Amino acid sequence: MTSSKIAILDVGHGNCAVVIDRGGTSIIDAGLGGTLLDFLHENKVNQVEYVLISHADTDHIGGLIGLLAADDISVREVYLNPDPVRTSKIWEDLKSVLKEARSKRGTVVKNGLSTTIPGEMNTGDILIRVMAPAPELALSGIGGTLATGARVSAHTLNAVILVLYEGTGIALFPGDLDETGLDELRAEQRDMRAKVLVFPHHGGLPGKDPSAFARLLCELVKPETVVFSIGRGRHQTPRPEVVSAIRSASPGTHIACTQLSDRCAATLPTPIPSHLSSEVALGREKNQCCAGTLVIHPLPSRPTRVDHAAFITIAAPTAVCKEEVGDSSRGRSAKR
Amino acid sequence: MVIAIQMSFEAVGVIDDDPADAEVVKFQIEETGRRPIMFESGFSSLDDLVNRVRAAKVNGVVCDQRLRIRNYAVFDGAEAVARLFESKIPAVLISKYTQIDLETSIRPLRAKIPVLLPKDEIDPSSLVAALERCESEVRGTVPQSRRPHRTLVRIDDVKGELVDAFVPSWNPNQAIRFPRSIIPNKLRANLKPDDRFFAMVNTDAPTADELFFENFTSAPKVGPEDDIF
Repeated sequence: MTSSKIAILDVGHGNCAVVIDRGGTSIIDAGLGGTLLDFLHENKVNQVEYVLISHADTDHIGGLIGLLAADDISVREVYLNPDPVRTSKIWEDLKSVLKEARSKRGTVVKNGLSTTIPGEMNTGDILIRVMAPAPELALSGIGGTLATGARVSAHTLNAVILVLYEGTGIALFPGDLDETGLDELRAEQRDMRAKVLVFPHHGGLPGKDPSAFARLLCELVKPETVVFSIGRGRHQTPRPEVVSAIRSASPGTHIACTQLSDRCAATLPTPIPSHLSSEVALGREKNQCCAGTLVIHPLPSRPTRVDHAAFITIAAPTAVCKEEVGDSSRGRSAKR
Repeated sequence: MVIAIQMSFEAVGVIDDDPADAEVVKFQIEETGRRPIMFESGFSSLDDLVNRVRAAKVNGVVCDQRLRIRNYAVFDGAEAVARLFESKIPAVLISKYTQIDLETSIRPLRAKIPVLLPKDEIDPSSLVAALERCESEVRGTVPQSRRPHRTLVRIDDVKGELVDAFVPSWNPNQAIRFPRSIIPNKLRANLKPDDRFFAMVNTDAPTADELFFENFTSAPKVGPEDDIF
């Protein structure tokens, strides 16, 4: 019998999570590169039931193309909101790989990912629930205007996915949700609590006030661990003010970046870290992992909080996640 | 200063048609505590290369890319390193012309060139790391960044014998240039923008320089009738 696990993969700057359950395997965003494929191969997964793409930025579609092109992995159903790329060349790329995947492996793509399409998927012990967008928000379309006067962007319509195990929220995947999308989600008054929050935008700017966004999201989710899926040296994420706001809103929350930010450590550690999970991680080859690929079992998780915190103490002398709350200048100064 | 790094290379061959550059590499190898073996007289063929490298009992090779200039060899360094790789001899390719030659003579053989080291990055540490990486791959341990995956390649532009292309699953926003000769004859006859292929590509490569392409096949053509929903 397959034991359930949720893996948040270190794919560098990008998002990708795999839910392995006794009823099948599901993927939430596909990242770029081959890490997802390596993970599936190493876990002997050759059939994927559901792929949920939170939003249709070109990098997210690129990762989906990589997954569908793999001829040794069958994907049954793909759900996405495709608007931003529908007239682009990458859409034609997707159509090409899908044409083969559909004829050879029976893959089906569903136009839409919302609280009603498909709404929920039960994969055995795990329930995957789409928390946003609500169908009426999805219908407003990109470029539309809400009753509040806010403009709708692709990130407003970003799908938010909650993974539950035996009724308890285990992990929330908000993709690149923006401020407007979060306001709409709050208005729905749904229970968003989850032990693990994969923070939107990799800890970058979600709108005009990243601190307020971080505080509100943490108040709604009440996470024990916040994950930043980042690539070392890319885009300077997570931003110190975001990390500071999380730590202020949720004291004691464990911060886990998949890779070691150069804000936190100007040089990479020499010894091979022993705290990482055994799963494939993009940063492992060059010793760039901080938490690396995180694997959530019902209990325990790897790396453990204690092991990861010990690693940071040794390897990240200017760690943003250990700064005094309110002092977000140290990391930026160090970078300069 | 001798770098005290444990490695299995006791003797390292130096293949470079430029005597001054060869001396620099020789010095750097000596700094690692290893014994450089110089190949000063050039090679008549790739078979000659493999035979003489084997006869010299070197544990690894550092090979320059441009070997034809002084009639030192009838092949490029990329061909030499690829042939040594096939012969299970670890070899590092070095060059002053990395970016220029990558697009023409190196890219087609990149799958068999574990490390391409610009000459200005050569020092004892980088040489040791490069040789160890080559040795590891020759023995069958392929790092994640060099594992090929079947993926889509879209032709963006065709400029004579060079092709610009995108690999959306690697980076949808960065073009890669390679010679059209990488694509099999029967597929490249009427090559044009927006042609699509499947190929084996190491899509976890951190930089475009490290990408290689193998086993091209045609990808399905699509039109307006191919709505995917």
